[in-house]
This record gives sequence, structure tokens and C-alpha cells, in this order.
Amino acid sequence: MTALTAKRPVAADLKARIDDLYARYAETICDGNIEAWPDFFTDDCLYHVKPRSNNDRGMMLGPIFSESKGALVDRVVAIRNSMVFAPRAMCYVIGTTRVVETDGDTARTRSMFSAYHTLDDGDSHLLMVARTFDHVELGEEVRFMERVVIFDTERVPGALIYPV
Amino acid sequence: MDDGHAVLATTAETPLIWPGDDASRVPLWVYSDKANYQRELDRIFYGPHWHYIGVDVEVPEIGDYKRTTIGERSVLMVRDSDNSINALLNSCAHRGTEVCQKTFGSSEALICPYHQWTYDLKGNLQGVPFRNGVKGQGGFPDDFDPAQHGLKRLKTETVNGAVFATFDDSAPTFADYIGPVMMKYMTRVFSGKKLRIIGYQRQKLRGNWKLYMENIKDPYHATLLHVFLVSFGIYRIDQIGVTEQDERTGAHCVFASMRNKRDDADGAEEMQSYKPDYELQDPRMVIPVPEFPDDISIMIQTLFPGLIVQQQTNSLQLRYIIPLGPDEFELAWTYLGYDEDDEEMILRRLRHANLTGPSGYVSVDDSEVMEFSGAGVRPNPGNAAVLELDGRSPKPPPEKHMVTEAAIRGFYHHYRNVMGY
Repeated sequence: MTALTAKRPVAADLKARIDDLYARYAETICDGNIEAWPDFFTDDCLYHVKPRSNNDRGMMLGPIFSESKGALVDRVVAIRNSMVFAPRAMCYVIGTTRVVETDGDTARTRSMFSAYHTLDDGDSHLLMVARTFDHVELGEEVRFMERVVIFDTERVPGALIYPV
Repeated sequence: MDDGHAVLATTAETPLIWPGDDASRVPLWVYSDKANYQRELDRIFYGPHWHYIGVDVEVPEIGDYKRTTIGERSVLMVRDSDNSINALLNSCAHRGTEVCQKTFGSSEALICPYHQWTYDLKGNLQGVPFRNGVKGQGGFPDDFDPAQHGLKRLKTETVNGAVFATFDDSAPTFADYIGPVMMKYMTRVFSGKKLRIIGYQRQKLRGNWKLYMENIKDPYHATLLHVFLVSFGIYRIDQIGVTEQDERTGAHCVFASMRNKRDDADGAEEMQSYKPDYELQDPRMVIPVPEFPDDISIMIQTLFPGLIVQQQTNSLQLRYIIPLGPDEFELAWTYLGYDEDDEEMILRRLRHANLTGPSGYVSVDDSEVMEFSGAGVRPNPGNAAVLELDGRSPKPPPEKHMVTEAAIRGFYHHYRNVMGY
């Protein structure tokens, strides 16, 4: 199938649930409420952030490789209590989102986003542009079983502190 | 002399004069002055020093190349037809254009896209279009000698897969350059086993490149800045560490921490009273398996001017520093494994890599501090850094302990000699 071949349209309510998931996810981080961030994931989730060229060359390595919700909680605890960094605000701009396929219980979804950070000097800078390749559980809540962020901005400006 | 108070920075015209006669003071203009930076490029990056350009397995087949950078110059690491590895300046002998644009590529010949000057894998000029003109018009002079117009070829050496290059043919052999003590540690990681690339990471940091080398040569900050290690109980209070230097120059050094011996009575007692503030819910990123035939669990080696070889439990990394002017640098991470790694070991190396890189539980602190340092030194070139922990000598302490800034003093002792200050 080529990229131009449209699949049967996804049910509007599923598309709405997925859009809502992506929006709430970004808002939670950008609102600074990172304690709530792990709740967007299932207990045995995979959360993986990696640069495009590693991915294209079959290499798994990236800045963040987490294999459980517990690992995400660890990261929140470290951000809050141990990591030393200049304060910053995050702003994510989600471009497109799409349901690639669904079996009713789960869905494969994609999104495109850009992320900006603003330090206390008040200048906003591009942190990354990225694509996400995700697998979500369609229960009472919609949660990520997998969120794989593949970013193009490989020469990361400074450090990548908050989750994306 | 210091009067106990910070001296206010002088004006824009900072005389490049080193304060004092040792390396216990470092003038802050070394981090920002443009003339000094240009001198570093000439004397250090393009002078008789060795620079890491890659690992042999990055260019496995004949004609494979990888783009890298020495100082500000783009350099190609190329697998030659006789299986040796060449380092070529990525700048056409015709008009200076970069010949190769891809980070990784493969080609039977290196062809400049602008006018198709064509070089073999050794950088020899093989042909130029219209050499004899077109229908009797134009053409090159009869005495045009292609042998005089190859790509600049750098001197190279390979140590168990690690490839180094220098622009200056007067450089000593690589073994002599780093010395036997450093070679012993470097060949722990580059042991001769076939390597594998686990992946790459890159960061751009707003600070001078030397600040990063200093950071790695500075055990003073390790448990003060890196709260993660202490608050999650990863730092072992009874951990034994050693510092070693290339004592001929002070240029290169190693810190090594030993794995704890459980039967060490003093250590065991202290560990019992040591309660971390937090426990990792998913500790897989810090659970090691023994891999080396010694007790070293963390080894961090700095090789002048800009390579760091690190083994942090089962994460093996190279960090290579690329200056981007006096105020900025790129930090290029290469994560290594061995060809013999099974899936579980590769997974372990990926997990352990969570501690380093742009989001690393430990490395984030260093990245950020580089920018704090950059911001603090730039407007104050007339001030000087004070390096007096464990005295003023550039030599490491005889007991090889880690409560010392001797390695940074060693670096600047060498730097003064190289730079003529």
C-alpha cells in the first residue's frame, strides 16, 4: 500500500479519543504536572526516545529507554529531586495525529510534534521536531502501551530534561 | 595575587598573559578569547596531537566512509581497497568544496559534486573533466600534475579498532603520545575483541570545549553535583577509586572505581547505616554483570585534547568533543558493544545508557553545568579559576586518591606548554 492509499476512515469517536489523549499528554507536561505523566502509560509500557539516524540504521540507542511505568516514575522522582538544570517551560505543538490501525482493543497511532523550551531569559528555542509511533490500549482510559519518539533534531540543544 | 575577593573583569582587550607560574590558576580568557581559540585550532587541533576519528567497524567494506570533524575541519574516514583506513580532508583540492555530504556513505571513488574532480580511496586525484579541453579549446596546462592535487591525507593509527588521526606528520606514535599507563586502560575497552556500534547521541552545549574535559577530570564534583548517585543509593560510600595520569605530560588521565568487596568489614558496616532517599522502581538500568577481568566498575579516561573513553558498568561510551568556536561545542557520543554480545547484553547496554547522554540521570547535570560555566566565564575574561584542592601541583597524589584537582592542573600544565603561555 502506498502512502497515498487511504484506508477506510476510522470511526470518528476513536479518532476523537486519540486526539484527546495526545492533547492531554502534552498539556500535562507543559502545565508542569509531570507527576501525572506516568499515568498515561500501562504498567509494562515501553517509552523510548531515539534519534532518527540511529533508528534508520537499526540501532535502538536513544536518550531515554524505559521498559515499565515504574521507570517513568523513577524519572519523575529524579527530575524533581536529583537532576540539576536551569528552570524552563515546555511547549509542545502537536501537528497531525492518526489512527493507523485498530483491532478494537488497541490501536496503532502516529503523531508529529515540535517542542520548544523557554528558559528564564524569556527566549524560546526549538528543542526538537519529532514523529511518534505509538500503541494504545483502548480501555476505560486510553493509555500508551508503547510510545516511541523518533526525533530529527539530533544535535540536542543542551539537555533533554522533561519527557516528550 | 588574590586578595580574597573576586577581581572585576578587565575590558575587551585582555592581554593573553597567564597569571602565576603554575596551573593552580586558569585565566578565564582561555574560555572565550577568539585569538586564543584560533591558536588552539592551529596548535592543538591541527598540530602534533592525535584525534579520534572513528571505529573500524563503522566502515566495514571497501569504499565505506564516515564523515567526522577534527577541530572545525570535516574529515573522511575511508576504508581503502587494501582494507587499511585512511583519513582525508573533506575539501576538494580544486576549489575547497566538501566532497562528501553524507555522514555515512560508500563509493568506489570520491567525486566532488561541483566539477567532478575524482579521487581514489587514498585521496589521489584520478581525473578532472575537460583536462584536454573541448574541441581544442580550454584544457589544463601541459604541466598540470594530478599528483600535486590530491585530498590532504592525514597520518592515521589504529589501536584494536579505534582509529586516530593527526594533521601534523611530526606527531609522535600514538603509543608514545598517550604513554603506557593510558594505553593499559584504553585497551581494557579496546581489548582486541571485535566491536559493535550500539548507537550515537549528540548534544550542542554553550560553553568552551575545555570546560567539558575539565569536568571529566574533576572528581571533586562527582558526589556534590550528581545528587542522583547519592540519593538513589548508587554511590557506595566505601567505594575505592584511583586516579592515574600520564605523568610525562599531565595531558591524559584515568579515574577508576573498584567494585565493592562484600567481605570488606568497614565498608559493610557503613553500607548498613547508609539509607538512600529513594529506591528505583525499575533498577534494571543499574544492575551490572561482570564483563572485565578486573574489579573496575567505572573507568573514565580523558585523552588530550578531546576524547573520553568510559566504561560505566556495562555501558561503554566514547565522548568526542568538537569545538564550535570559543563559546560552543558539540558533544558526540558513540556507544560501543562487542560483536559477541547476545541480545541480553545489548539490552543491558541500552538500559545502562539511561545514565548518560542528553537525558542521562547523571549526564544532564554536567550538560547544564557546562552552560552555567559558559555563561559565567564569558563576561569575565580578566578573572581566574582557582584550582587548589589537594595542593597546586599538576602531579597526581602519590596515594592515587580522588580528592584532588590535580588532573585539571595536569591538563593546564600541558596546555600552557602547547600554547606557549
